[in-house]
Amino acid sequence: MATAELVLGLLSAGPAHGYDVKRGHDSWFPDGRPLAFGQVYTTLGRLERDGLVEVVEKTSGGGPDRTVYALTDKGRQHLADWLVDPVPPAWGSADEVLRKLVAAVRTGGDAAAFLARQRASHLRRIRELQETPAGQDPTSPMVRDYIVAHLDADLRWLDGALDRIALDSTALDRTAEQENS
Amino acid sequence: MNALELTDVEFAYRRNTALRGVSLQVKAGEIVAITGASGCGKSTLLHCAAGILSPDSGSVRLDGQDLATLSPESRAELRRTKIGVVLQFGQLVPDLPLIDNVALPLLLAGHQRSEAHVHAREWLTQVGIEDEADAVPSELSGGQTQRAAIARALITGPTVVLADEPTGSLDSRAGKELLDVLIKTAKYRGAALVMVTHDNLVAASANREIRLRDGVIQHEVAL
Amino acid sequence: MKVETLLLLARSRTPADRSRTRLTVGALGLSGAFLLGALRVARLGRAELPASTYSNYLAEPGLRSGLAAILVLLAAITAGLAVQALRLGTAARERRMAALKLAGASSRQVRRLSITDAAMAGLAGGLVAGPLYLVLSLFLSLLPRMAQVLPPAQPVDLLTWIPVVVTMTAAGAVIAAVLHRDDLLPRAEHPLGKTSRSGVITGVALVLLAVVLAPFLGYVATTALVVGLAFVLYNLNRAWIRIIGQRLARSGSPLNLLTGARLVTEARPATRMSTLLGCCGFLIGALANGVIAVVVSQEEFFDSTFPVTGFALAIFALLLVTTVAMAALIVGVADQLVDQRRQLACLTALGVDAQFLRRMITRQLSIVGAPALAVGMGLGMLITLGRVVGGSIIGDEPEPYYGIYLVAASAVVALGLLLGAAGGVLAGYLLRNQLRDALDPENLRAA
Repeated sequence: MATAELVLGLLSAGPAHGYDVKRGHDSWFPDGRPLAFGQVYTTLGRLERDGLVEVVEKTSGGGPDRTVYALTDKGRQHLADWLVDPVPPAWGSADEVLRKLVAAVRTGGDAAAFLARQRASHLRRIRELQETPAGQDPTSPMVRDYIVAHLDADLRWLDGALDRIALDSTALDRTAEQENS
Repeated sequence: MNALELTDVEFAYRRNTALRGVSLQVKAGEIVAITGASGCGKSTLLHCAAGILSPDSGSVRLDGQDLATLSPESRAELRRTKIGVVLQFGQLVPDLPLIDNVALPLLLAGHQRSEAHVHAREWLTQVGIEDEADAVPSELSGGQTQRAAIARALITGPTVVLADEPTGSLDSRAGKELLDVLIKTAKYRGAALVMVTHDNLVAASANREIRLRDGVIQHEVAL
Repeated sequence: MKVETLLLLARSRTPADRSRTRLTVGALGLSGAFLLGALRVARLGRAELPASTYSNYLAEPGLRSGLAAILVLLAAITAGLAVQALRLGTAARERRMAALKLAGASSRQVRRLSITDAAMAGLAGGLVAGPLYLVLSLFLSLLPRMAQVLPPAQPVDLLTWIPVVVTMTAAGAVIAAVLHRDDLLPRAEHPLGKTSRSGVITGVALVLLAVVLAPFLGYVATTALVVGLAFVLYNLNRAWIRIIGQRLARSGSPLNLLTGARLVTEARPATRMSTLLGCCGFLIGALANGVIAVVVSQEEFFDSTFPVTGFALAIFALLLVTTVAMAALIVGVADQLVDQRRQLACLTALGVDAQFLRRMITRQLSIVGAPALAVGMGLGMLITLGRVVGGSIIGDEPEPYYGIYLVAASAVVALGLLLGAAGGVLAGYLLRNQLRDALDPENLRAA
């Protein structure tokens, strides 16, 4: 699970309390499951240990809520690397793709490039699956069909996301033009 | 040398601009998928590449030959010998038996009918419909007519095969079988294959995906 | 492309194309038969012939040239039906041409194919013309002397048959060459071009020139006159059909709305049809004028069989011309129905029934046909038969222009309107089965 990278993404706008991180996460994924407080603090602790985040402000005598975390350069690099990488298309990988896409859009990353790479990765996987025949047992072909159908569904969603992003960017260009003139 | 090369191709229908400067190169033996939403210009691009439409500006080169510099006659000749076209449907001559439909490019090039039939029969066998040689298109299933279209597209040994939604009128199983036939025969001939498709399973069989949006290339990725 | 290939591909074997070819062969055959007749009459020379063996229409040189002119005109009119026949199934044929081009046929090859196809139909028509002429000649020889307007067939006719076969073959090829359109992809719509002012001016000039020169050139001038008239009508018809169509399309009644929309989108065939009807009407008017002229100047004849035969022949010619025009009209509409059956079947879902569609077709045909016919008939009456064929009954003096022509003109205009409306109703009746088929939900299945 990529909660760690998401937390990095949430901190990329600026230093924040653990509570802000939780609230930010829930607003990025309004239809998803809310992030538990416990998970936020263990993740932040691990990130601090790995040198990806640092504590920039700590009010004395306070509880955890008083601690403000910020991204380190190493953390920023880690986030960027993560956003560039397409998710290996595997069973149940869609959640991860979605996380990356949301993080990329929210943190101003190149979402279109990510989607293009992700499409290529999915298409490649479909080709691999189609090139190797499924096993002869009763269930393998069904499992194969299931995976291909889900990859196809993902690809259609990626298609839609690409169009939406292109649409948003042209709309942004247009507002920018209007503001300039 | 590229088998097919489009440079800054622009094309507008009476009211709508379909292509706003598209460039792409296809090497011999390569398989390219052109994808994108409906109306993004992908069929127009294919028709320009096939010489069916003449671009308003930019150039189309086939085996290094600029189509615009050719006379209509030699352009038709080039289309006949170097390009094979497979469309979604409606490309066979309705009243001709399959064998004549497949032999058509050879007949138009001035070959004897008996000689052309020998080749046509070979190709009908290649695509697996040799038993339907004497049937007319209306007696065939969608998959069979598409197979005949593939045989016809490949009979002259083209450099490039251009396919516009080749599986578009078929269900997924028949579509997969047809795609296999198309790729197998194109490889057998060593022809480059450019497919316009909105079907991800078709696009997955390509070496490269070129995605169009509003008449421009949105992205191009190797697969 | 080998000749074998040319013949294989030129001959389309779809049922629609077969009936199209049959109609073309029939029309050109009839046209050739009339031409053979005209040549036979022309071979009699310019001399006066004994009225004891020949019909008076053949014996007198002035009448003879008029008769030859009428035969040439009939040949031209029936060839007009061939034009209409060759336009049948345009959409289906354009799809076939597009398929051929996709297979690598060049524009020139496709053009050659459609010309070969029509030339073969013309050849067949020319070959049919001989026997048809013989039958016509034999039939007329059974009639009383006055009605024997064709001299008996001679072995020399076999020689004149050859140029007629060649002419009909060439006519087929020329019609196809003119009709050929060089579009690689089939177009859904055929927007109508603007009315060409130069077309109208050329036409009017041709008509005036023909009237002036008719006494010297005979039926050459007559042919020029009809061609000029066709020019004028074709260009004017475009304009008013579009105006009527647009006006109807703004109407609140669904019947008028749909009729108007059809007129606007189908303006091309409607224009062709009304031009043909206008020319037919013109000949009808001119022949009716001839009848009136004979009645008015009756005292000059001692033998009543002469005018009676004249009337009978005129009526026969009128019937023939009207049948040709009607056939062209109905054939054209039937073709449209086949071509648009999918769109029409969609109307079923909106509650359109065969009755409604029939009213629509009737209205569409009447609106286009009635004015064209009426105007043509009125013009024919006003210009007068004498001026059309250049034959003057009264020797060297100019033919008198009777005031009654004006009265008769308004009468034939009214008759033309009535006939046009009746033609629409009749066509609706004759097409009732096609209309029902066109609305069949079966047409909605994917092709």
